[in-house]
Amino acid sequence: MTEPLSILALNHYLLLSAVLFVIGFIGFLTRRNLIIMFLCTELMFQAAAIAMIAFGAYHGNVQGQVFLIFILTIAAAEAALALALVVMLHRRRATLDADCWSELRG
Amino acid sequence: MVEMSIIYAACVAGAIGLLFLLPRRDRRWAPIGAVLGGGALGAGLLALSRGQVAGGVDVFFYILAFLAVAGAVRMITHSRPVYSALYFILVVLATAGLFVQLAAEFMAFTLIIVYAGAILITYLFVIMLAQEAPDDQHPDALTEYDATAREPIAATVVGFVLLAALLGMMYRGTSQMPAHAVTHVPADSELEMLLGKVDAALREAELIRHGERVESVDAADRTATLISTSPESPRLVSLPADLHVDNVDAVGVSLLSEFPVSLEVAGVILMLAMLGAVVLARKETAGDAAASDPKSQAPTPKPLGASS
Repeated sequence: MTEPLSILALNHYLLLSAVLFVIGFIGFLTRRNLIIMFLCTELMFQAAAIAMIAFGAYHGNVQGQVFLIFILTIAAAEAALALALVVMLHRRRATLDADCWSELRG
Repeated sequence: MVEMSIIYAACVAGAIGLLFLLPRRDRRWAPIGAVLGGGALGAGLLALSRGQVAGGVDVFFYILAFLAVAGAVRMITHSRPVYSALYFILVVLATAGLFVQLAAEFMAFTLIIVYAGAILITYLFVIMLAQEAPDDQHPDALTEYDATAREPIAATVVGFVLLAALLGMMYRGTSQMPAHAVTHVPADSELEMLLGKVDAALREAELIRHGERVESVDAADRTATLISTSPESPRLVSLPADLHVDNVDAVGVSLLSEFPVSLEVAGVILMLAMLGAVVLARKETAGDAAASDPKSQAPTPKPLGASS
């Protein structure tokens, strides 16, 4: 194990993580293509992964990395279900526009 | 708090830059947006370090961080979905490079194999299956929903207010944390659970005799206790100097000794997701309709003796 991360370096990684998360968030809100919206959630997962690994390096243990294994599991499950839903919706209306399904609102 | 005002100003500049970059019919303002966004990212990073050299951060961090952020911005602003997915692969590769910087090699390669190799390829398949052109005359034309953004101003404002709040909290929180965490574990303590690895290393260094096996390891003293049927058993030998726990060993020991239940739950989640995906995505076939229709089912055999 290498030297634990300093606070200054941890700040750098957390800033990068926050920027990536917000970019994914904005993408999720602005894009109208269903597949791109789900890609943006994957980007937010990436941001969380960077924060996990950086905090793990700061504490000098591997629990952050172990947690990332579970994040990857959830991401894989989410991708499988989301893509199955997208395929189902596309079969029904032949479009990927999220606004076409706006009557689903409560 | 000069650096916080620089970071907040960088958030405003980044918001304006991203607003210009989001997909729209008129692409004239996109280069200005790119310059503003890049400048905002650089100003934010410089405000954090304030000219100091941070331990653990070198020029590769800045290169990889720039690649990750630029790939992410291009991913949400590119109007063709296939390119968006390819830019996301760039983000994944840059993130994997950052993990190598943080001495997490196993997770870096797992990320490349699982994300770039499996999840993103599935996304690409679905994008290519579901892609449609608006009409047959212009097969390269963009569909309306790919070419325009939904509520770009509101989303950008909300997003960057969130970013400013996150960074403010982060800066205040980390300035109260100790410079180095006290939870640092002693080096190579996992060797006490990795008897097989110690055994192999001792055999390679020819420190272990025929018929002996490793009974226990003391990582603090760097010694191993060997037992055998010979009269001088048990016997202490010192470990080879180049025997260390690498990243894969540490992750494996932690995963199986501290989180075994979570590992089982992760397996259950994966299996349920697989079943759910199959149930959601399969087509209704003629056989299904016949099976669910009670009239078309095969006639039940009459009870014995009823026919006579």
